[in-house]
Amino acid sequence: MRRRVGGVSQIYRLQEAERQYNKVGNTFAERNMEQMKAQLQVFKSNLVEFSRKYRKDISKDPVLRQRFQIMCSTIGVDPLALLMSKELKTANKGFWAEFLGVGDFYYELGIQIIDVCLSTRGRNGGLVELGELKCQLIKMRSEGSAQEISEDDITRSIKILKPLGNGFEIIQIGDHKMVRSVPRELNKDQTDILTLAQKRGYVTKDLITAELGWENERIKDAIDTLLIDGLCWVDEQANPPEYWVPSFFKGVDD
Amino acid sequence: MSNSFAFPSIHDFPPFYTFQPTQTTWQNQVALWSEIILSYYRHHKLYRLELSEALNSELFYNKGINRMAEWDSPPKKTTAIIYWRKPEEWATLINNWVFEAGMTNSILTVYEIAHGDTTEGLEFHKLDQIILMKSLDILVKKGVAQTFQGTSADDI
Repeated sequence: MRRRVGGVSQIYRLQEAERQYNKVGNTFAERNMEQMKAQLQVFKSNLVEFSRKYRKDISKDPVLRQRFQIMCSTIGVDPLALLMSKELKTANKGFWAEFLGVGDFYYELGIQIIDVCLSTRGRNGGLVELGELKCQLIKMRSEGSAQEISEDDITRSIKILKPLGNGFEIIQIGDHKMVRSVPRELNKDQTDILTLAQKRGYVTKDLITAELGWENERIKDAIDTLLIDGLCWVDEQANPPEYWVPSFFKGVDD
Repeated sequence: MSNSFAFPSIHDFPPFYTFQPTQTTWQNQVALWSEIILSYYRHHKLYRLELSEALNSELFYNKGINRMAEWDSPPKKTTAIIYWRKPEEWATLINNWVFEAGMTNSILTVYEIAHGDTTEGLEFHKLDQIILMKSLDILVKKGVAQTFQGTSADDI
C-alpha cells in the first residue's frame, strides 16, 4: 500500500538525496577520471600493439591507414605525439620506420621536421618557410650525423608524414613554399593577405584596401583570423599599425 | 660593452614590442622575453633591473628598428632582482669554494666573499648583496654557516 508523503518532508528528502548524490558524484567523478586515465593507457598500448601487429597492412593499405588514423583521433591519441614519445623515439625506430614504409634516413628527418615545427609553432602559427626549415634542420643535424639534406628530401619527408594527420602539408604562398604543420586550412582571404605581406613582411589595412580593394569589414575579419591563428603579429608602435607575418621574417625561428 | 650579447633575431621583430592581443601568441611572447632577459642578465652578470634605466638599455630599446618595450600599467615597484641562477645554486657554489679553498671553520666577512681578492674570477664575485644574503641564509639553515652581527662577519 502506498503512502502519500507530506509536501515538506518530501522536499527535505529530495534535498537530502541530492546532497548524497553530489557527495558520491564527486568521488565518483574522481574515480571515474582515474579509471578513464587507466583505460586510456590501455587503449594506447593496445594501439601500439595493433600497429605493431598490422603494420605491414597499415603501411600498404591507404584505406586501413586512414581508419587507423581515425581510430587514433577518436581515442584522442595524436599519432605524431605518439611518434615523438620517448618510448617510441629510439627503442622502436625500426617499427616506425617500417610502419611509415621508409628507411632510417627519412624517419630521422621526419622526426627532426616535427621537432622544429612543434617548437616554433608558438611564434609562427604553424607556418614555416621551406628555406628557413632547411636552415634549422641543417643546424640541428650538424651536431650529429652530418648527412646533407636537400629541399627535395624535406618535401619527401613531409609527404610521408602527411598520413599521420596534423595537417603536414607544403603550400605555395606567392613565390614562397611554406610548410604547414597545423590542420587549419587557410581561406582565400587569408592567403591573399599573406601573399601581399611577402614583399615587406607586413601589411597595413590601407595597403590591403589599395591593393585588393576590399571593404573594411572584410579586411578586419581576415586580419582578425590571422591574428587568432597566430599567423600574424601586430605592431602598434607603427602608425598606421602594421601586421607582420613571422613566417616571412628571416631567422625568427632561431 | 665588452663581449656584447647576441640577441636572437626575434629581438629585431617590430611586433615583439607590442602586447599581442591573441592569448597563445602573448604567452609565447612573454616566454621569449623572459628567456632573453635571463640570458642577457646572465651574460653580463647583472642582477638588478631598475625600471627607469631599463627602458633606455639595448635590451628593451632597439635603436635599429626604433621600438621600445612598454609597460601596460604603471608598475608598483621600481626595481626587480633577476634570478638567472637560483639562490640554492649560489649557495652550493659558495660552499664548494669554501671547502676547496680549505676555509672551513674560518671567519670571513660577507664583503670578502663577494668582493675579496681571493674570489676574483669566481662565479659569485660581485654577486648582488640581496642574493648573496639569501644564499648565505640557505647555508645557515643547512647548518654549515653562521652569521655574526656587528661587523657583519660570516663563519663557515
